[in-house]
Amino acid sequence: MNDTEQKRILDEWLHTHRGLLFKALRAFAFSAHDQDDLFQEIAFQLWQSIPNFKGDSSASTWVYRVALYSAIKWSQKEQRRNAKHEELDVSSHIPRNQSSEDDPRVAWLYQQIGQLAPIDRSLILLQLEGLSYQEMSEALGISESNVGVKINRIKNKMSRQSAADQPTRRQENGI
Amino acid sequence: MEFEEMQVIWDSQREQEMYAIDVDAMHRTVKRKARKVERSMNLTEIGMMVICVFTSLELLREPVLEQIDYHHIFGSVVMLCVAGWMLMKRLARLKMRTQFDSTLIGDLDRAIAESKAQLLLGRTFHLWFLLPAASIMLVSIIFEFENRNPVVILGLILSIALAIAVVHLGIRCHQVPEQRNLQALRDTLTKQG
Repeated sequence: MNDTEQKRILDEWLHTHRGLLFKALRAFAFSAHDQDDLFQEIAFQLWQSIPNFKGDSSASTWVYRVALYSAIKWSQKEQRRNAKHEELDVSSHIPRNQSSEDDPRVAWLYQQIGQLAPIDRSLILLQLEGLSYQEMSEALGISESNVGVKINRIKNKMSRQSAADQPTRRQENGI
Repeated sequence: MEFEEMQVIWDSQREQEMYAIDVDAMHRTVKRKARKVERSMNLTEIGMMVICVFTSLELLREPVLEQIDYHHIFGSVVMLCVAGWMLMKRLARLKMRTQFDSTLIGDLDRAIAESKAQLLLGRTFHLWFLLPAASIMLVSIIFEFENRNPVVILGLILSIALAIAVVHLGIRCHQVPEQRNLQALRDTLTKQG
């Protein structure tokens, strides 16, 4: 495979899956600088993975797998680096309002996702993107039954958190 | 809020503008990779120098203080030579670092050069460290054969084999892929002008 062909595939993957990639960036990195950094890392890993893609799974499953594993690895590395330099509360990294155009409920959702463990973040992103348990299992390399159990736990956790946060969110929204 | 409602909120996100690969972010990534290799090299060089100097002093203790086991002086000199050689290599490497400019390609070349130096150090580990260490052991065995416990000798031989295996595993699993990635990035950037 020559470089032009590799670049064409990368551009196509980035364009087709930009929705999920953007959401993954927001779920794993909490500042513009970090999101930029993570995007470069994912693009680099995707670029490197192209020659290894043999078409055994669908291209989207492959992209999800590479992108989310890169994000998990990046996030763990960042955590270790931050832990070395200063001890910070995880939630302090999460901006309450990512953008002025954001629906506060969307910002809250990202905040909740950002507080999950990296593998749970990947699972819930794929669930929200509408992937089946089988596709999630292929993308993340865990069994379908394990996916089901984890998804249920995450859903319950987020619903509970939502109930606990409701008065605060009403106050913030002036309701 | 039930999860189904969260799904509705999630689906309401409008498609955001995609990021573009930008040179500044790529430069930061390359700098980080270069720093990582440099840190690892610093640790290896300083660590090995400390080990060699400490071993050299320890080997000198008996001949100097207790006036016995004069053959240990050979080991002490060998270890000191290894530390000196390592210091010279380190100084040459630090001088080499300054030759690269602070551009993306310059930093990438620096990272590749550091990575190559690290790889060379790992690949020649048996020559610059294990061979001198084995020669010291051999002299020690010859002079103190009767006092030596065979189990200790066997343990030393096994520890040398283990050190070789660990170093080669590190080279194969970490250093070679790291250098290959940096070189691939360099080739890609050069081709794209």
